[in-house]
Amino acid sequence: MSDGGSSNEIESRLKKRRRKNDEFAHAIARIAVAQVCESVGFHGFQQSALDTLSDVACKYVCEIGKASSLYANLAGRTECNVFDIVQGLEDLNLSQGFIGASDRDSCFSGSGIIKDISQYVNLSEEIGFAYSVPSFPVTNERKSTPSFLQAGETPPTDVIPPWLPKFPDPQTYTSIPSSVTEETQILPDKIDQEQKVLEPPSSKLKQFQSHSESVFPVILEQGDVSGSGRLDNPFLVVPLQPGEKEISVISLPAKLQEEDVLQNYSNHVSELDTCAPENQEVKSGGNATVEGSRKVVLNNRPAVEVKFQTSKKSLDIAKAASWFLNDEEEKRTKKVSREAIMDIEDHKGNDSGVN
Amino acid sequence: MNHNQQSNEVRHDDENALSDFLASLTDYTPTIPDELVEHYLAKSGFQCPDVRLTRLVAVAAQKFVSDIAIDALQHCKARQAAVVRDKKDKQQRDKRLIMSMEDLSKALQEYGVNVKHQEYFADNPSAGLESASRDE
Repeated sequence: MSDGGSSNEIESRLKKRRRKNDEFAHAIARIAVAQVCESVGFHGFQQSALDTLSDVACKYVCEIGKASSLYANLAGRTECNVFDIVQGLEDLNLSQGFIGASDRDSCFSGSGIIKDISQYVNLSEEIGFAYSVPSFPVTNERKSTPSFLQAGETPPTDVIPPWLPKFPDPQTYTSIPSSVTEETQILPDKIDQEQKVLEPPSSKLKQFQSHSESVFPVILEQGDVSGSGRLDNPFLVVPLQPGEKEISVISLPAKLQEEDVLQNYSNHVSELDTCAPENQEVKSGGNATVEGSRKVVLNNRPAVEVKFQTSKKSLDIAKAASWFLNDEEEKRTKKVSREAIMDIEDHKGNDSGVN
Repeated sequence: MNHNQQSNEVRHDDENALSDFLASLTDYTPTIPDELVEHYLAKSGFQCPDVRLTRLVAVAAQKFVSDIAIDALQHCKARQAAVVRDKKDKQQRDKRLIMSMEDLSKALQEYGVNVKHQEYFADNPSAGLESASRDE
């Protein structure tokens, strides 16, 4: 259920994204459909109804395109002609019906669909679209990096052929550990805005340097040089030194502290009971933690003790199996556990071999 | 022989009709703009430099939309006629014909497009339930 829900969320998010890319075309379609409906006789629309109808119209156009290109490809062509369109239209309008739909050998030029459409054209008024539509989608002209030949440069090594695009400016990828003011002088073609952004980081750098001696300023310099954008990022700012910022200490009231003690004691006692069938080591360890925690509990919460056991894994499996099964199945489980033991030992052996 | 000649003539007429129709399309400006149709056709893999074919698709889509609109209009008028009231209300009703989701979904159903509209949205799962089944 949860997986289905998450996949539905992803699908809906994707659909929203698709709608976002297509918003301009959908808006134009909505206007066109509204004009058509107005000519039919409607005075107004419900928003959702208009949206639905424009969506259906767009999908209809897409379907015509798909069907026509299918028939064109079937005939071994990439460009569609009028007969492909007629065939596509026949496919889509078969459910509605048109004159001559049931004929097997009719020629496409005399198709009933064309007659219907020409009749519609002759009878209906010609309504132009209300606005002038620019040709879309507008493609952004991408500036490609010129090749070595185009730039008039020679590649640094013989290995690189000159028709490949040239390397970017070395200043964009090398870090120069000098002061920030020198950087602003070296790059005079940068706009004033960038220079202004560079200056506050230098003041920050001086501030941190004056605060305390630490290793961090070196990293800050490199950050300055590579780009001003990095220091705007709050996650890349130098972390606070201990004691720099005052943090208030939370003190529990006396009553709560006592309750805490009782709760923690009872928790540890119950844990001990459930751990009873475990090995002696763990038991002793558990005792130690309880004793330790009893002393510590007055001030802090008891620490969580995690014990990692590397040995005696096989015994645990057998014991765990014995808790839950009857005597009848014990023999089966013992066999399984023996196999498991064998497997584990084999694996251990393999590991030791690798090591 | 005669039969073949007749069929050839018929085909010739049909082709003439088709070419005439396509020629007339250059004068006719469909309501759906050419750029929009070209965008959606390009999206679905339709490649054609001829403007007349784009116009043909635009006109076909316009006819489709107008057919649906006419059906929805008929549903709307039928619903208004069903609600018979005083003379005053009748005059008021004739003025505003609004396309609603109900009429549209009925009209689209005949074209094979199933649009189901939510009748209402509840703000919590127990809204509208009987008081006996509610946990209070």
